[in-house]
Amino acid sequence: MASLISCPHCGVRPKEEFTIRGDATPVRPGPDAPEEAWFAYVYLRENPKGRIRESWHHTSGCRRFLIVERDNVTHEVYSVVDAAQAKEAAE
Amino acid sequence: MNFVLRHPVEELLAAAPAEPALNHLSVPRNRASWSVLAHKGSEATVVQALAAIEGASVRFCGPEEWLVVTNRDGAGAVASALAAIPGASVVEQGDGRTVFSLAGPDSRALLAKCTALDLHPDAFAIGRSANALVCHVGGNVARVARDTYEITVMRSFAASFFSEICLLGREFGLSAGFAD
Ligand SMILES: [Zn+2]
Repeated sequence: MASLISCPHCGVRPKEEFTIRGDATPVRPGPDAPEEAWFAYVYLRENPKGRIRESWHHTSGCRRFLIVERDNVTHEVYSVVDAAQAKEAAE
Repeated sequence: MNFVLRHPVEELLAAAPAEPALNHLSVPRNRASWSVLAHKGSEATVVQALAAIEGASVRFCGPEEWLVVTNRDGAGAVASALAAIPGASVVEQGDGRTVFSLAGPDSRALLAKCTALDLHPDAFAIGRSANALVCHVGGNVARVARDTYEITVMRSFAASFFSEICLLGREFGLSAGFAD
């Protein structure tokens, strides 16, 4: 398999079981934030090379949202955590 | 009005041979199943309550989610036991999921052709279960005996799963038939 992701709930699985949902770094603005903040949150994305954080959905497994930290040049995976648990830990 | 119970692979299995081969895919008609989800903070108590239900097989799907499978004769008792668990939501899945039972000395080798789940006995002991991609559809794989696996897929994917596993099973002389 080309890319293996270690799901914290299901173990090592191939990328075919997942759906990549995009950049995990943007922070949702408050409901009364200015239009520019919302525009940036919804539409504007960096296209970085190297180490990135992405939201992955384990579609064919536990169906949980995960945060995958990986390198988009070398395909090295640094960490995979449950998105909800990571958010709880941060709060 | 009459409702007719039709199995999703009824037509595909019409021409199946009567004698099961060494490797056999049986399609039980009498399975009942439920999805069980634990409410926030109730996971440990729900796990305990599920383990205490007699005659029910509990399969792991993901955090705070399980698939409970049983034979239809004991379904009433299991349904009331599930409904009595505090802190859990239960959805009946009998018509939504289709169960297949794959047995035989080559069952692991056959399954390894269509799933990336680690089926090594050290990683997938008897009694273990997991959600995984199997024959290109999402399903639940459970190891119920040394060489026996139960695969549960959504009803609308059952025909696709069945066709593909029969094709992959040709090299092992896989037979298929309905079972009670
Ligand atoms: Zn998973």
